[in-house]
Amino acid sequence: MIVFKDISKIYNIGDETVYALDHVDLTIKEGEFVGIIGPSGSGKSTLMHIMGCLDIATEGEYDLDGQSIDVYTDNELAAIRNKKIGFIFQSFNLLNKLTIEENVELPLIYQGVHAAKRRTRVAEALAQVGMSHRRKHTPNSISGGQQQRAAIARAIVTRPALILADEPTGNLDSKTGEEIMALFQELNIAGHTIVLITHDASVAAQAKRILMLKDGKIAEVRDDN
Amino acid sequence: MYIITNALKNLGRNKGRNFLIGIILLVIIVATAIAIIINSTASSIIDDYKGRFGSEVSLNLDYDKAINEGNFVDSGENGKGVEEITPKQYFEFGDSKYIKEAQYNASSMINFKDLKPVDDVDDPDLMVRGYLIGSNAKNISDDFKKEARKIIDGAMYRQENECIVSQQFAELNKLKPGDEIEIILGKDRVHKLKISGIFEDNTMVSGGDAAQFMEKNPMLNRNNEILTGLDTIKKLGAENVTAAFSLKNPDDLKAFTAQLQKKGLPSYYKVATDEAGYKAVVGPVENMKKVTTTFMIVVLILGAIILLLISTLAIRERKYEIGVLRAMGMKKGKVGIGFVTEMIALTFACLIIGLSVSAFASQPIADSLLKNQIQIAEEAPTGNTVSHLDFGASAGAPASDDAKPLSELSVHLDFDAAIQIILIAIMLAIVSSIMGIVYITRYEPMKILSERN
Repeated sequence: MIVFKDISKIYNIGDETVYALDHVDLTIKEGEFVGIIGPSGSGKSTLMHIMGCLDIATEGEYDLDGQSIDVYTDNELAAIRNKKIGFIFQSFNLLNKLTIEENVELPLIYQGVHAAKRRTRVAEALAQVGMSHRRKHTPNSISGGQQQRAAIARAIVTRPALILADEPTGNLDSKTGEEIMALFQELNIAGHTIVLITHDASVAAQAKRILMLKDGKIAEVRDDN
Repeated sequence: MYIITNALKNLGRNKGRNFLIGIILLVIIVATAIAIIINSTASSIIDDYKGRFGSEVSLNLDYDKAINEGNFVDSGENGKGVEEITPKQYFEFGDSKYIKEAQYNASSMINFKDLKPVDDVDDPDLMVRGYLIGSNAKNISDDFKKEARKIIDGAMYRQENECIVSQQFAELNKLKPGDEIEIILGKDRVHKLKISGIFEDNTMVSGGDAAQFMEKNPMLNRNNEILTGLDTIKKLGAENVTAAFSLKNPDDLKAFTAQLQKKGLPSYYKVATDEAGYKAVVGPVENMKKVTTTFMIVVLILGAIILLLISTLAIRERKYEIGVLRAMGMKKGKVGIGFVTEMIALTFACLIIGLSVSAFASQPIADSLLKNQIQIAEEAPTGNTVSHLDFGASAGAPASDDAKPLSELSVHLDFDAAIQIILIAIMLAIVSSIMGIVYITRYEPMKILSERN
């Protein structure tokens, strides 16, 4: 599903050349639950942005579902994000003016899904994350854990094959974090490919495969598959 | 459609911000709509009066030019005198393809054969005791329209050699319609005219007490005027002619001037329109138009700047929304359409309210502005732009001294004005959306989200 071939992301800061990703080779198959661990500044977020088609590599080739994304235009990449990838951010990134239901509905609106079908899919997604009872609330009026559940519902409502989660438990207490991780396990069992980026080893430990990033280079730590 | 529906919902979701932008839009739309409505009406009035005043042409002696060209205004001395325009020339000038209407007042001094003029004096040497007046000009008929003179017996002259005489003159000479009178032109040219009607003359009444102290002179008494048709006096030979020409198109002034000069009009005669009269009547409206145009431009510039600033501030808040939407895979175009739709919907609502408000408010504002401009015009020192020297025969548009400024302006919203207002509203919607579009196209979603995080 995901193939990184000699991917590098280079930033030029003044006269200095910084490798955020340094010749990374990586393959993630469909249905995997991969945890990517690494200290701050190791290149985790850069990796996720490239994987999520939010950024492009300076060098190397990225194939998603057998096709190189280098050939896609900005709008085509947006369409790929909308259909194939669900994002979950550390800070949830919900829109505060919208209710939870409306937040979850947004990706479907822009996909052009019919209103009746939208309502069904939103209800299903919210039920899957246990947030049906909070659907009329705004993000400001619910807890962090509930906000992250809502963000997960928004990520899965379009039924993407790939879910990219960037420090999904970073802003949550340990108990809520565990609940969210349990939810990821359920989603993986349901068939979603999950790539989880974290600096917390205990969170990464719940993934079936763990990769370590350090100074832009990647190394395999564990593979239970 | 779903993007538009969502955009409309967004209007309600961001009430505070949209209310603020809406108020500013409304103020700009109302101000510009009032200015456009007033301008539109003022423009059509100005065009109308320009047509009227611009088409009425006068021939005036350019004193300085005449002197510079070696002519002496006083022809008694050495050198050539200023050439006067002869009655024959006036009639020739009126025969032009550029002329819509030529109004003539022609007169000749006359004496009467076997008839007594009113206020006669016992002077056998007196050769002139009245005037034969022939005219097709409006001011003659105006005397009758205003009832300063009115036919009390018979009818107005219709055919050649018919005339009307005053009641006093008729009573003095026991004349009635159908009678013939004999007038003497020049030294001894006798001509018969048939009386078609008798008129009552009230034009002398205004002389009042002063008239009682004036020396009796039949020439000064308007009751001795014999009124006849222009054709009759043309045939008999007019001594004095005044003419007012109306051009078919005010733009033909140059061509008409060239034609007159070709027909013998000396170059030191100025062919001019009644600019002073135009200024007196339409000046306040023109000034009002200038004020409203300036006001509109200032409001539009300031309004656009304020809108840009507010939308820049508002977009900072929406930047995050753009980031989230783009990260979720919304195309730039779709996010842009959503934003533009919001602004267009808001602008459209403001446009409806603005048009209604301005339709009611424009009339009192126009009245107030016009009143103000008339007051300014009245207080300002007046000056005539054309030096007007009358040397016997002259031609001129109606005197501008009596011209009263337009004191009422009935403003209304017409189709053209409505289109202009709608175009300005669209422009405002674009200005309001422009910052959003810039952010959508310039910034990548991760940059926006990482900045926020």
